[in-house]
Amino acid sequence: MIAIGLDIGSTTTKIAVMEERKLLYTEIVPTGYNVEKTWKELFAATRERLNLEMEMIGGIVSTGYGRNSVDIATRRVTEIMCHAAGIRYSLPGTRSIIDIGGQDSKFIQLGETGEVTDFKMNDKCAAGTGRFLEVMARALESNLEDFGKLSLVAEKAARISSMCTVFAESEVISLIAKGEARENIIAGIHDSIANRMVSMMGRSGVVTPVAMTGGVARNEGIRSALEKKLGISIEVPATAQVNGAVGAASLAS
Amino acid sequence: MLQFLLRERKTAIDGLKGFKKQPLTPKLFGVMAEYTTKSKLAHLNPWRKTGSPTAGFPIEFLLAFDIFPIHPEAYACYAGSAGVTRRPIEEAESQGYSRDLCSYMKTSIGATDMGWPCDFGGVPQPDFYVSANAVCDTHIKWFENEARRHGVPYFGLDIPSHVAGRGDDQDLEREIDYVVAQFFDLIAFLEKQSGKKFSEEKFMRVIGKSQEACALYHEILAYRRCLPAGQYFEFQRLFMLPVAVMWNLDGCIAYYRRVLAELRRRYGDTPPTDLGSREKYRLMWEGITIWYKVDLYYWLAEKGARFVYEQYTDSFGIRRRRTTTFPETLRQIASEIITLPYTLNLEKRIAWMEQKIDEYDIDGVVLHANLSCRPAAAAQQDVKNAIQKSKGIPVLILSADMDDPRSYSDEQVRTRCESFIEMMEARKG
Ligand code: SF4
Repeated sequence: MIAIGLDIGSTTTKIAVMEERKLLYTEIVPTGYNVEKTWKELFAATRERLNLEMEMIGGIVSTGYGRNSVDIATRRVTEIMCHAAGIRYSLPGTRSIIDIGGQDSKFIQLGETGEVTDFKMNDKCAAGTGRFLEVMARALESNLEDFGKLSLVAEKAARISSMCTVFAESEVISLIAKGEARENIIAGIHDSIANRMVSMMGRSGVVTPVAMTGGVARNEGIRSALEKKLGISIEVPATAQVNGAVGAASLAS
Repeated sequence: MLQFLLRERKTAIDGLKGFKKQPLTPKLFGVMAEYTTKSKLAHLNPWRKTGSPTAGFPIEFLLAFDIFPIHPEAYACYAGSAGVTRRPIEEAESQGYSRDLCSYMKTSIGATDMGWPCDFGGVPQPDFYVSANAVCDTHIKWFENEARRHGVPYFGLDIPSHVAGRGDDQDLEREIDYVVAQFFDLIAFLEKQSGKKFSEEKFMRVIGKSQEACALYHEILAYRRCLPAGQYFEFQRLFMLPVAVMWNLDGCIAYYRRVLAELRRRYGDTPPTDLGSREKYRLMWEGITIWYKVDLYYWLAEKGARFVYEQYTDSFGIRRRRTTTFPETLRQIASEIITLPYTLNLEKRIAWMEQKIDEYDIDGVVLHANLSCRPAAAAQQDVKNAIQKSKGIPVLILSADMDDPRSYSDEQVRTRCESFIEMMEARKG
């Protein structure tokens, strides 16, 4: 039987398709303003591409902030449980997950058998999330793909002290005006996200092995800033960006 | 009120809808209405003095002079339940009160300045203000400032900061002396305000009523374990309000007496040790309730998650010990204020929670990280870590605000609560 996971996040919508717990296919599209239209189109395109009849689908689990809009879901599960399930699938044995998504960041602690034992999420503010990075990339007239690589060649990280996205953006603009090297500013931005994440996690709660998921996990700069601050190495699964959808599909299997 | 209804039709309609959603039984509604009506009448009566105390202030001193206590925090709770606090809070902030300050305070200031009635957070102008720093420092500054703004006298009680539960009674005795000495200053202040002489006899009668109301309240709480789930909810939201603000009103005592009689009739003279109905998820809530979001509790209840115990509710009704002489009573009151349950040291507080987790067979704990009441949200991470470790149950720290809906995001809260429920579900297997 086919199992489908749909992760409708604030920035992107992801789909994962599994057959007998084997991952067959994943896809990511921007969520846009019409959540329902987006997942429906993605679902239809996936079915067409894989020649899936509805009768072949044994379960659909939806997750992410738009999970309740998926009326065909057999179950709706929170991102926390789906990210844990996704990691159990791709990196079994992981004990801590750092997930930085479009508008929220989470830290999930797993027990020995991969069950969720605790979680923390950012509150009330998008600082330290993917949206923060996007705003900074815009201010630096750069794109997110280059961010990670550029920061790795920085001589020293510039200091960005504000937690607020809007104020940090003006700090970045004044650093540009002062002639600070772009790589240094980017490294400073990564540092500020890593600092925020580390304070949310609380050092004592980090049990290794640690994995990182979410779109921001592709950014090597943030991963390395986190690794330095925590003094550990962090695994990034190949399915990092679609980890929630993969977890949802595995729960639907 | 009529003026308000005409002027603020939409707010009034929204507010009435908010009140309607509350888990109010007609009897509890009656006792609350008695308090608001008496506040309004006392204010209108030119021969009756009114004074405004903070929660936890020994109001018996006021009552011994026939001074009616007007509690701004209670009205701020009403406004919160009505779901109309946003405008008063913004009004207060427009006057320069910071976003970080207590939302009861800002609701009260804003609603009063906009001329809203007490059912909607406004405070009928009292003749003076009294407060103490027993619970928080906001109490002192808030009321001092109100007295200044309205040009009326103010009296503040300085309560020593005490960490209870360490067994150093020597300190406590000295602290009691210090507070009792201030009671005499308070009496002198009230004599001046009321133009009356203090009567020990009358004071003792008033104290007797307080002690009766508080004893009844705690006798009722002892039955909570066996009550059907629906009633727990009423406890968490509103049941403590009478004992918080009007423990001397005959209506409050009569109400609690009736409730206790009913419980005794149903469950016997001593609370049974068995649990009543077993909800899917039995939860403990810690902190002030989220007044404007009664929907959250209904939504959780739909998912089978009900709050069956709160330390906060249990912390009210402190006048539990009977006293007979005037000097003994003064010392007892001083001791009760100094050692309020929230002054317990962290280990004792955690131990208290752990004991209740066992007694009430709790599946999970929600700690309200209340953005505007930091005293009520202190040390939550330590509490969480300790309970997760000792009891192995999930503990959720929920960031919100008791009266300020701007600090609440439905989607964020629901995602956290759903994940929390999923964790409890996974534990049950
Ligand atoms: S800060 Fe807390 S204790 Fe103090 S007045 Fe506000 S709600 Fe009450």
